[in-house]
Amino acid sequence: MPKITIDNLSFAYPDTSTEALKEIQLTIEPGEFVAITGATGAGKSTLLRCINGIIPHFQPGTLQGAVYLETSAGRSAVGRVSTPHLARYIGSVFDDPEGQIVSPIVEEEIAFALENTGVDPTQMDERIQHALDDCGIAHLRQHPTNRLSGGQKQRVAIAAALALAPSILILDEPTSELDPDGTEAVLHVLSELHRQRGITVIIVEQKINLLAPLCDRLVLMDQGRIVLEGPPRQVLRQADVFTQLGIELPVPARLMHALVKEGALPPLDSPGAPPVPLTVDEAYTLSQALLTGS
Amino acid sequence: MSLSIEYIPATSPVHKLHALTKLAGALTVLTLSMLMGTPVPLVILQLALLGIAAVANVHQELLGAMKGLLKVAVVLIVLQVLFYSEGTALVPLFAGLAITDQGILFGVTMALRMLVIVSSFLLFLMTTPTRSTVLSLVEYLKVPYDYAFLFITALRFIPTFIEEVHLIRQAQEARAHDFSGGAFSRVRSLFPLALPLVSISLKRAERMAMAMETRGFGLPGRTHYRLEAPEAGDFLMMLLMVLAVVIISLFL
Amino acid sequence: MDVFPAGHPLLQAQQLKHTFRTGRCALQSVNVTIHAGEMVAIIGRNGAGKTTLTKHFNGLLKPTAGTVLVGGQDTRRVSVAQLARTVSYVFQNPDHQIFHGRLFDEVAFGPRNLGLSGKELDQRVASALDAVNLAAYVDRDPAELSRGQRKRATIASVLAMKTPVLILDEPTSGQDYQESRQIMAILQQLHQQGHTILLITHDMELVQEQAQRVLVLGDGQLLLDGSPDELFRQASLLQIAGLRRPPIIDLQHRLEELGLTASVPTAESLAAALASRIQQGPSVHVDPTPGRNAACP
Repeated sequence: MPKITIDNLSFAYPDTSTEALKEIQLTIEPGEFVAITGATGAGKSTLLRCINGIIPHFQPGTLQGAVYLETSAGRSAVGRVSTPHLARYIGSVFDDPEGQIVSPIVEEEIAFALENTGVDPTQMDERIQHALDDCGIAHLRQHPTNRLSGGQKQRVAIAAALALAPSILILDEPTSELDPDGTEAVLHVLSELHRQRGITVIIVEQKINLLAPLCDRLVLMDQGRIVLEGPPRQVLRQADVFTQLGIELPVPARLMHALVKEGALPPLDSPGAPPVPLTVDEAYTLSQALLTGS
Repeated sequence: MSLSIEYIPATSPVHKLHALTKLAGALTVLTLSMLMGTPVPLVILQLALLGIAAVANVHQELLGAMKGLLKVAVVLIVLQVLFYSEGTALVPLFAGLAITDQGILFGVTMALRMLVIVSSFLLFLMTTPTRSTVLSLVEYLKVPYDYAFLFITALRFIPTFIEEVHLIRQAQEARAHDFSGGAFSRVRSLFPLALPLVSISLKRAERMAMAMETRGFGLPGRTHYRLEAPEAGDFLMMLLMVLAVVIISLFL
Repeated sequence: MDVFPAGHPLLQAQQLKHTFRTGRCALQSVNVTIHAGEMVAIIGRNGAGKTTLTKHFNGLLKPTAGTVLVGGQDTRRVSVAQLARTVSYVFQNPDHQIFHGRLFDEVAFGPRNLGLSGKELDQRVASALDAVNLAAYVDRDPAELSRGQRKRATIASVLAMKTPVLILDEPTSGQDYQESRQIMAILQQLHQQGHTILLITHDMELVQEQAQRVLVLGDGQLLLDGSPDELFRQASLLQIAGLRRPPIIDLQHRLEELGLTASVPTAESLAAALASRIQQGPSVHVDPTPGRNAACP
């Protein structure tokens, strides 16, 4: 299980004067669930592409610093391993469900990565089944890929990335084109993979209200920099940063900040302050506790 | 014309044959039909194909396709009859042309040959998944995998492409664009469809290449899922085909 | 644009049925009337028939059975180009429509098709780009714009056609928070100017904040024609139609269990209500059975 270390990483796309990433410093522990958010152009996708090796192997530009994968056996810079080789360690899922599926049938889509990496064909059936089971789509195995719904396509894409049993999964706004059911199904799969298989999940998303209760760490980016990062309850204390960056502050946290302003709660950095609620349920419990005076 | 060239899943002895065997079969029929110069053996060959289709349970589809092909056959016959001048004139036509007995015979033979050849390939396509065919070509006939992959992916994207054309058309029509235009401005009127289609396809191709790389595409030593090897029955069938060609060519 | 007085029945679907060539029934017997000046959200699962319904309102689709009237005219008797003077349509993906090398021309495309030119055209393009905050980009290549800007460019391109009715398919999808807010503000402004607006959306914040009326579709049937508030109070309907309450409404409803009401559904007003109740002292008749248990990891 590799740890990811991003060391002083800067990147500029060709023919641009401004850097898309500026001196990024971040360590992601094995098994962490990290949600990255920020406005368009903040550098979120660029950061993901530096982790899965698309930058610099596929996308040219000026890269400084490095991303390292560290295991007990040692550490290697992503920039020195080609993208196809990285596939065994890092699975990637993109925002466009249509543009990442290459095969006409679901099982063939899952087999694609296995074939590419030279897996023995006699092992494939089992591994395909395993990946499909993990994503809750075993029933779709023989389906034509072009008749799947968006949510199903994204789960197929996750299963296809999981076929090689990578320990890291990277997702770039995987739910942006999905309806609420599809979004919920995809996020459920991710949280299960994280919880049960211990997979490191790194996801870029706009829907932080859905991600905050699931993730271990929330990262806010703006103009190529990491502005704020930490456990969601900690990050959500800094409402002013959200306002400043134009990022939506989830409703439960907003209620809490409003309660502090009303004087119903002590300031959030004072010792007796309760934790920031992440879900509507938690906000309800907090309100109830305040009303009953407990 | 309703030509079904889609694979029709079923479990028949014909479906079970190896893709290469069936491809060889279609090529055998092609060769035989070229050797046969009269209608009767061609009719027998066509009936045999229908028999195989019945075994594979795709005879309905094949008959449907044949119905469509009849129109083409009629055109072929008419053309041959009109422009074939050898033989005994039966009905004199304008400009020294005439309908001759040999002209009719030749026209009918041509039409039957076309029918036989197209039917045999349809039979092959309807009973063999594209993937099996392509993989066999890669593995046994050493076609480079990249080309084969290109072909499979192209098939996968046909429905997407059609959908996209549809949406772009509608989006421009909704802005009062008239695609029918006059004959003169016809090509120009297609720009609003063609340009977004090209740019969207390029974008998609790039994203797809990226997605493929992150799944190990391009590594050496690729293996193939569900690659079937020819079995004893396949070799027997291929032997029979060779024999058939040899014997029939001796007798004709 | 004031061809239709407010409240005039502008779009009418009567016993509308639509069956695709594949045989799939996309709409079955839908009856709905949209009046001039309304802001209506059309919601439901993907594949529920939302797009099929709205494409009947600009004639891109014709009814298999039943009638669709736009401004009193039967859409079967009028061309799409003709209907484009009354109803304009912004598709979900800007890539499906943008094809000019200069933003001006992209926005001018529709009005030019309607026969406009010269000063009037320039004026319309300028005011449309102004409305979506893209005036500074008039000479730029749309390909260089960000996804959010391209989306707004497509909105401008139909605004310039000055149609009384605007249909927008997923106006906020793929947009970040700021961009979504910006689009909502644009829609609000257009609505105030008298446009009739139809939104297809999964964005429940958008529905809650903007729509006066929602049409909920499920499997080709109209499941509800009512206010957002009505919708959010029907838990079973939400489930059937694959919809979720926006978190703020969810919170508001949960806090109602504690006897708290707020005049407007915002976190701030809920907090104010809560604070004033706390000042009255601990409540004695709080509902002792919370609906669900909070999971505090």
